[in-house]
Amino acid sequence: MDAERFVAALRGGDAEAARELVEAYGNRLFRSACLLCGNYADAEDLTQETFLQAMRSVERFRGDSNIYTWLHGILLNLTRHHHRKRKWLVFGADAGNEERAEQPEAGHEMDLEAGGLALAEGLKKLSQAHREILVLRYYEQMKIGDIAEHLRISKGTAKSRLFYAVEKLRKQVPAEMNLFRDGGTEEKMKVVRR
Amino acid sequence: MSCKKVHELLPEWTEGSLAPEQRARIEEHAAACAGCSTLLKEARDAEVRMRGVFLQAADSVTLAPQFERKLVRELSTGVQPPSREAEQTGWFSFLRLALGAAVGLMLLGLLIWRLEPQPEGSGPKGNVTAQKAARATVAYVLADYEFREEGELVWDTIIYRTNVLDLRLWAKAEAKGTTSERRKKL
Repeated sequence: MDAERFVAALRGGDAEAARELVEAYGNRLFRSACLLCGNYADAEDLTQETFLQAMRSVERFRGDSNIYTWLHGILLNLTRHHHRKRKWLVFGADAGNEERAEQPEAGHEMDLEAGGLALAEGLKKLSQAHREILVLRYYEQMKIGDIAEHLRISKGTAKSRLFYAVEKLRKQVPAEMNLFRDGGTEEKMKVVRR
Repeated sequence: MSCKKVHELLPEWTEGSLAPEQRARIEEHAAACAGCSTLLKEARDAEVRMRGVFLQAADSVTLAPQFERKLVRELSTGVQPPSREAEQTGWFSFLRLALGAAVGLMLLGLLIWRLEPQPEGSGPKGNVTAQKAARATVAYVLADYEFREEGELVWDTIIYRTNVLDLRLWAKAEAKGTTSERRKKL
């Protein structure tokens, strides 16, 4: 989809352009949202809100920037806001409701195979910043320089955040997934960093 | 090239974004260093495994066709219905407002209590080396919650508004005498 068609779709009134837009980016954004927030219902809301926010901000889209990266930037902002709201909801709820607020409804959990499920569970236990950088690196397959630009941080911060995020994830996923080897890369890197 | 430099450049090496000469220097170093050679191989393997498991997790979910149709309909008509989160903002902002007001009033009470001159006899007798007095006149404090979206940015703010804080502080290192005498001077 080219920039002109993209802008036409976001201005509304062109059903064919809208269909092309959703076909081109809907699933990719939804999958990224699933990894970032951990359940279908919220990921659907975030995907929908991303497109609607894009419609409101279409004048800010610069034709020379990558369409998906621009949309993903909106998704990231919405996800951060979503997590802040979730924390407030937990804070406002009484102790008995706390579990319910943190845990999405069973029917809305991502239905994944063992490896994917372990990863989704592991990601949920990480901080928003760590989850973001892992999704950008391993799902969006962005390079370190692009991640730094996307998150508006320095390359050094991006590298360091990625290192610690991988280390945290390693502690969350079962060893039999064999994502990392004992005494492997991360252990060696730690020795050098000390 | 040192082992430390190799470790620093590991993410760029695995993603293949290094300049050819830098890449050659790393590989030259790894050829002579068993530790770095293993590290590079493991880093590349881990990158492949991680990408595989992320793709496996993500690609097993798909947007429901009816949801896709709903999105297309909304985009083509330009209708922007409130999301599930937006529907919650009514009572949610009230909760924030109440909480914000409570915190604001507590802080104000604390401030006035701290600045109020202590009653005679309650403090140390004799010379006082420094004396602070204050008068605070506050007619109202309002806590306000503001939610605003500007393009890609979302503002989420609690604002305290007050009419005036008439605050006067005196700190006289040489002040002497009783509290009542100093009050007369004021």
